[in-house]
Amino acid sequence: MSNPLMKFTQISLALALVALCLIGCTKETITGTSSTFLTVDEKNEVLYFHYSHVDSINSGDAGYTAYSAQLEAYDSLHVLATITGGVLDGSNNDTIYTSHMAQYGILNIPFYQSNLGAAPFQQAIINHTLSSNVVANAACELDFDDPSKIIINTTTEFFTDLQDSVFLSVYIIVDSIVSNQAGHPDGAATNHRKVVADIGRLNGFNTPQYHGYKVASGVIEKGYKFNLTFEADRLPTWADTSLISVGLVITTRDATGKPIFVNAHTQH
Amino acid sequence: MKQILTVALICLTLTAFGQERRNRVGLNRYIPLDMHIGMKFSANSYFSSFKLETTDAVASKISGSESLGGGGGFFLRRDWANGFSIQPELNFHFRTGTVNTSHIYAPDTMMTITKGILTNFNTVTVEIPFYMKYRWELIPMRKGAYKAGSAFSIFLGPRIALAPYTKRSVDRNIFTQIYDQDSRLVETEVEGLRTRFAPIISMGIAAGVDFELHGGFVAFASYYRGLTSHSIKEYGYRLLDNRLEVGIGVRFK
Repeated sequence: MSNPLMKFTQISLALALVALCLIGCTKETITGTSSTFLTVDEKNEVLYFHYSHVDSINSGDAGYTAYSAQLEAYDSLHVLATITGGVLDGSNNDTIYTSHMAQYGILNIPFYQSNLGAAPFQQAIINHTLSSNVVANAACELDFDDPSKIIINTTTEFFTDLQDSVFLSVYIIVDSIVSNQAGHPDGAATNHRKVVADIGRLNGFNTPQYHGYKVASGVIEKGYKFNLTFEADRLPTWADTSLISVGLVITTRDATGKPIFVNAHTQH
Repeated sequence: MKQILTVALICLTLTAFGQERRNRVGLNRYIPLDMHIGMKFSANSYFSSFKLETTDAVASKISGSESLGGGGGFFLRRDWANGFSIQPELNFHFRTGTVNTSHIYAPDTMMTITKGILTNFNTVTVEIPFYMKYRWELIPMRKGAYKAGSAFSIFLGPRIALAPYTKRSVDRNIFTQIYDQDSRLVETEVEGLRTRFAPIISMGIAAGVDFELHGGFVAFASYYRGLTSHSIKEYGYRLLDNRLEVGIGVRFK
């Protein structure tokens, strides 16, 4: 190798080493402390609503039987709840019943809704849980320290990129409310299973949103998550906290403003 | 690793042209006398212009920095008449840097999201300039003060940059205020995002000067301006290259 080439090689190597040293020092890291988030499972669960009314004989007969069978089979895997009209031991069920019947145009009961649509429950399970695409999900933990309140701490997380407005509903589901049911052999002592008794509300925002609070909008990136704390009144008769659960339902909206189901979760 | 080995192999192969060119043996016998091959190395100072794409954010800002990088490669000069030459090159450049973006979104009256994204990137590009060059031989100018072959040149031409290796890592700090409740998501090296930083191809234009001594030693300085972004547009910003390259080289004789 000629002398100039040798010199060139030496100088080049020296410059390369200097450049590499400088490059090695450049990486920056973002600062800040993250909030404490609940662990959100990347999985899909089906939302199954059974619509009934305490004065409906059909609800107390065929409706009650069918819903009980679904509870036995699927309550440990999916979100099942009854939306009941009429007086039910002082809970806020009738308002929720009225708003849901109107929103979805339901005229006859008993009525069953899977993922807010008309598909049969088993078909909805196949469609939703066999889909590998989990768009978003939520998790919650309940705080019963105040005997007159239920505090619901939630984390909502997105598992895919999304560009839409997203709504989160928090249904307070109470199991085994004893109250009258027409058409049921137990009459006034009927055990109402898994009933939507109220919704979680956001402290300071008094207008309840029975079909969900808007919680995200615009471009939502995969991995984005946030916390929200809801609360609901707890009736004295709901003493056994093991009978209180929460159904978290994530929806978007179609062009007419009708809720479109995205995912649901409950603490099983 | 495969890319590094490929680059190393190409470099080693091309240095064969540096062996005994004047004796015209081996591969060099096939190279015309008015064609010159050499190698060069540069230290690069990058100062890209950072521009945000339009978003629906109510407020946005971007900043960034790039470290000193480097490059090296080979040139082939084909002389024409009257001092004009064409000089295509095959160069490899490496760079690292960071991009900081901050957006405030208010998609609803009850919702404000402040999103800070820090992107660290590094990229190796294979760059192919095609220069038009004009050379002033110094012998006639200074009547022998310089030995034969000393020349001052200016050059100008387009450049295509291919990015076989490019990587980004993303940190994010997202502060969410919904219904007067706050939460902050801080993540370093967020997983599951697209890792490529630069597009496969970008291009620009470069101009520069060089000075060649009699022994074939070349010192040069050039400025490169990117005409297309060297970051992927979907990330919400454009980085148009501004680069100063200062280096040395050798023309095989």
